[in-house]
Amino acid sequence: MHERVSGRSALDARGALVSRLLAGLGPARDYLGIALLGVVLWLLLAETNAFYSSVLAAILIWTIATSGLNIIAGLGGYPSLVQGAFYGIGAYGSAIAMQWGQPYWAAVPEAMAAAALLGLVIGVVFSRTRGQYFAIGMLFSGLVVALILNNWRSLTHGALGLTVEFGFANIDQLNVAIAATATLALGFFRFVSRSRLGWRLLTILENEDLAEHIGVPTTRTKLTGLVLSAAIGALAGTLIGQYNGTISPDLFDYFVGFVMFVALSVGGAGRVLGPLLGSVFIVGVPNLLNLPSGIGLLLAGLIFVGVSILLPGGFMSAIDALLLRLRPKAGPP
Amino acid sequence: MSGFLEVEGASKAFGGIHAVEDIDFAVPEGEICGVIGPNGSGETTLLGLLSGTYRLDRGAIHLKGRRIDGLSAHRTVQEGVARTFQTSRLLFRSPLAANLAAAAAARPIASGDPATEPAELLALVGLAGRGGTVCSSLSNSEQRLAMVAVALATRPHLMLLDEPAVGMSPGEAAALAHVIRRIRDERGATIIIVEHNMHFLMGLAERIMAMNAGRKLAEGTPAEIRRDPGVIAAYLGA
Repeated sequence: MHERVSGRSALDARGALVSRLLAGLGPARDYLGIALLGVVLWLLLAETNAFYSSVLAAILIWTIATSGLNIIAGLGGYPSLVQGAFYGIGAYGSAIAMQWGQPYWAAVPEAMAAAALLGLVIGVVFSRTRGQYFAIGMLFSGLVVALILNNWRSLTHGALGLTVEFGFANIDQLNVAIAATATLALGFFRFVSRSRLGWRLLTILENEDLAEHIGVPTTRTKLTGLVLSAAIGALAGTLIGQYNGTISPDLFDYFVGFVMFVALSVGGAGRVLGPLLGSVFIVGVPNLLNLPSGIGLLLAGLIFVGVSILLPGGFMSAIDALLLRLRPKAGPP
Repeated sequence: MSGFLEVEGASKAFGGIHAVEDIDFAVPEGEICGVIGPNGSGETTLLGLLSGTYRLDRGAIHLKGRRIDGLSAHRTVQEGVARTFQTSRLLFRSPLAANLAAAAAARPIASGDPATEPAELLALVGLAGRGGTVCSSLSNSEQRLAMVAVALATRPHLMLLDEPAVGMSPGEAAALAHVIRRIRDERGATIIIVEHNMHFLMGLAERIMAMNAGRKLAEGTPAEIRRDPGVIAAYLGA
């Protein structure tokens, strides 16, 4: 009995030391964790068989796109349903730029800039709308982009789609790029969430009327958030083009932005790892089960409904609750 | 004129209703100034005009010689004007300390030590140790004080308090009056208070402007206002 008690307290002491060391690392701890996660994801991407690797690649590319969405929607609380369009601009923009003779590394910032510009225009047009009106405006904007991709045949070849030049030496390099970009996207979100921009977006999320009155330039803050979301969405789009080798408008249809919003909500909006968890459930599970895309969407919808009812904060909130239960009980607060 | 806050010919109409009509007044630096009037006299609209919530139809507002009417609400905050609201407005789902951090993050340039400042502000308004409490769990009077702390976190030269004592017990209101005096004495802020609690305001304000139907009715010390026949008529409907 005595033995067991002392063993337990030694364990507690060691645990306390570890947590004190981790606390001493401060923000570096989060970035370290994200970097470690990135290495694990890269190993999984590189070492598993082709099928699992392709499912994981799809998850990670969606993680990048939804991490971008997490800035305007997760921090700012604005239901941006247009992320699929920025994703499409990234894919088409980089593919077209490469057709015009640009290397991949140059095509990426160009596609991101194009999406950012589109985000700015959409943001200015809808900057005075909130809530469901903003959501409708975003859905409408996504529809316009989908229509352009379908009908500007001289540039996009319409429904036939485009063949994308491969910009890497081999698939291993592309896997490294996907894992590294996903890691950077998660890390960038972590950085933004604790920055002044992140605080300002959170103020807008909670009380936009108050935000103006404590000095937050709300319109400029929202535009900045939307532009960053757009650029990161486009970055994800350039990678899906590289991975698939071909792109067609149906990959970027108007409802894709809606599904991205669902993925973010399922994972945990405003949380660093929310996009990854959401993408696992919304992209990974249907792909692993090899479901036809219509059935996959249906399953995603069911997951969304279930999570909305049972875990309003997404799966991240369930993990929080679990960690809270596992943590050794401290003294009274 | 005082050279601190000067309002000239301020007018604002909503549709056909003249909420504020041709108001002239000046507030010297460091004064605690009260604004009273029967409900609907335009006091809250006047605060809205001073804080950039509304734009003037006519007239001008100068703060320290700089024209501030026509600026958006966040630019007005940057000019040094902060306000509170009749109904509590806070980031209700966040801890109180996060509300203060949000105000600090809203400043155009990072300044001061964000770690020590919230504790100082909370002590000043009498909410020491409450920084970790989520705002929705604060009591009504604590929420009123929290709004004052958030307004202070923007580092204002001029604070506009819209019925700060509403819903407070006499004891809580007395504590609030003490806090407001300390803000003026220790932070050097000039304060304008709109209030219907006469007992609270008469003991706190150094000068009072009485309004009725959007117009200035009288201006003077609390004792003068109490004796003013026009003010008595407006309140009692004589």
